[in-house]
Amino acid sequence: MSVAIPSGVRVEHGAARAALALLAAAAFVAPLAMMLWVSVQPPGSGLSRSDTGGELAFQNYAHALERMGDFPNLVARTTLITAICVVGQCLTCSLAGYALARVPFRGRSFVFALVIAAMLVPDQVAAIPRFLLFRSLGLVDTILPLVLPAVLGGAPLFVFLFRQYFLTLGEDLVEAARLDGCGHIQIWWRVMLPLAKPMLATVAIFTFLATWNDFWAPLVYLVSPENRTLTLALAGFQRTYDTAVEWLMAASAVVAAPCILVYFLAQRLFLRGVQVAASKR
Amino acid sequence: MGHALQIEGLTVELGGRRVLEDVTLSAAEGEMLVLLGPSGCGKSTLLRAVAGLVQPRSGTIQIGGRRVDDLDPGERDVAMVFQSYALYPHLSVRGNLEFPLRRTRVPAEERTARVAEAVRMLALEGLLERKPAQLSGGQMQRVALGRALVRRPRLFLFDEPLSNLDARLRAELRAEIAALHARLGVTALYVTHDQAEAMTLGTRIAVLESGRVVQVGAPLDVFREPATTFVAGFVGSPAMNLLPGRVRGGTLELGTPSAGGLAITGVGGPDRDGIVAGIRPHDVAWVRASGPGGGVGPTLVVARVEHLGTECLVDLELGALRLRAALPPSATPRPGDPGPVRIRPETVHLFDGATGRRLVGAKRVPSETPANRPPTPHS
Repeated sequence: MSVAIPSGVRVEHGAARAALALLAAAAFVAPLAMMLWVSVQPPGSGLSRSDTGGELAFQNYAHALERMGDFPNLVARTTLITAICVVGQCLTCSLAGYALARVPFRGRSFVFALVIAAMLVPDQVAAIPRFLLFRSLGLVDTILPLVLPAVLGGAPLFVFLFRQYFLTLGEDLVEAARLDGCGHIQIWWRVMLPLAKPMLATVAIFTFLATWNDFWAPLVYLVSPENRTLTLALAGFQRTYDTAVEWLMAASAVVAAPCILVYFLAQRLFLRGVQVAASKR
Repeated sequence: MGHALQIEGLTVELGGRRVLEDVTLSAAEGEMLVLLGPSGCGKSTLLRAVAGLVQPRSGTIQIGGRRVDDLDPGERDVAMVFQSYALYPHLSVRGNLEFPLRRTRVPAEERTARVAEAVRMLALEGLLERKPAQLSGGQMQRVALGRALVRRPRLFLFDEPLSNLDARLRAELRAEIAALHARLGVTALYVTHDQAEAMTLGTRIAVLESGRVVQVGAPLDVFREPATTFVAGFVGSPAMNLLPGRVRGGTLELGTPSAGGLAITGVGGPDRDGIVAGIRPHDVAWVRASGPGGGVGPTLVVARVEHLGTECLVDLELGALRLRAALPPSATPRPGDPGPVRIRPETVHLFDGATGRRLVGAKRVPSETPANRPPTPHS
């Protein structure tokens, strides 16, 4: 039996949804807006100033970048680490996901169970053993401890997401490629990866955001001032008695800008990837 | 003529279940061997084993005299057309056609020539730069055919390639595949559950039942002389009537005397109980009785009528006996109409009721009665 819904009820329902969406958007946008607002306040006024006098202190940005230190090098180093992590994560996690989805081998279910189990282990639990390992290898104060886990497919969540995605692509494709003379690596590279753009975008964005904004790992592994990343430089603004909030916000806006830009550029692919990952399989 | 494909004693198990059991089969050069059977009979598994996509438990496979069961699919010199087309969605039609040639490092000049030839043969001009998502089902299957053709393999494998198409396209592509096969003279293994495809495309048909090959032969031979009740029931549309009965004095008695039955004289053979008689619906003639007690022989009553346009299918009942007849489209029977049936004894197939096997010498026994003589009742 179908029940007709009066059009008035539908409009109210739509309005309620829109209001909720606006509220949620406001909750996410408010901190960004606050950051941008404070970043152009005259130094010393910070959050307490009620009268800006109509003057916006855009020079805060120049001062902030100057205070961060060697800004071009900070950006270059952070970009290098992020790029290696993004590429490494996409390649190795997709390769592992392909193997778990489409390569029959003994113990595949067990390995997949391990991947699932690894998703339940918090990063902090592995932090000390991992630090001891990298210290014993003499890699502390290099970027290797920051990139090796990503390059070696150390993100079980992404392995899982890729596996799920590859399962949605028909097995016939793999079989056709095998008959066309491809080995598994070629199938992964020439057939599966080109079809996995939404998932690649999702993993790339997640990895980009996590690596670009990572404070914990650089703090643990990077000791020398010349090896610092942007997040460590940002932390340098915080002092016990005279934290320059306006400069900190200006520097934060500069550091956050690439994240926002990347998300907007790849938004559509990202959402498709998340939808596929969320689909039941 | 040598064997392009030789399968011996092939057994395949999937997930602990035996899917193929000791299959021995061969295809001559240029032959289209059709694997026919219902869903789950193992025909696709057999095809996939030949392709190398399924590892057999035992047995051997030779293609062109070369043993291939230990080779990877790409090394077997076979090309496969899938039911789902399996076109690479990210590549254009041209990219799909060139894909296997690039993988096998065919020189660019020859690659271009082979693609051009396939495009011409399959009328794919104008579609080369399109992606599979921009093609219709028929066009996609043509591209899939083209991708197989450009490889010029020793053996073509077709896995129900027309199943996803509508009836009109299926008929069109069936004719195209037949024409291509006749023109190129390639050897092919073709899997289908559609007997029209099997009958029209196959040089020979291999009928599979529960993982075993139960009959191999030319399409008409399989149709005319089914080896078992399974083949008899599966090959031919509408399906053959399979009725329990016995032979007494050269007369076939169907049904039970108490519940009503038919007798078909002139079937011949020794007296025998526990047989199954196979009668194709097209070999059953039924006429409406003109009045009470009209006609000759026992009266069967029309239980159900299906007008198909080209013919009229009628379910007839006589007590517990049920018989399907295919009448000319001009027939206008209505449920409840009575009338006698006419079955010529030489059209009756006899099978052993216990084993289901065809009884030797039971086919087309010369009739002692006129061919059009109606059966006599024995009840």
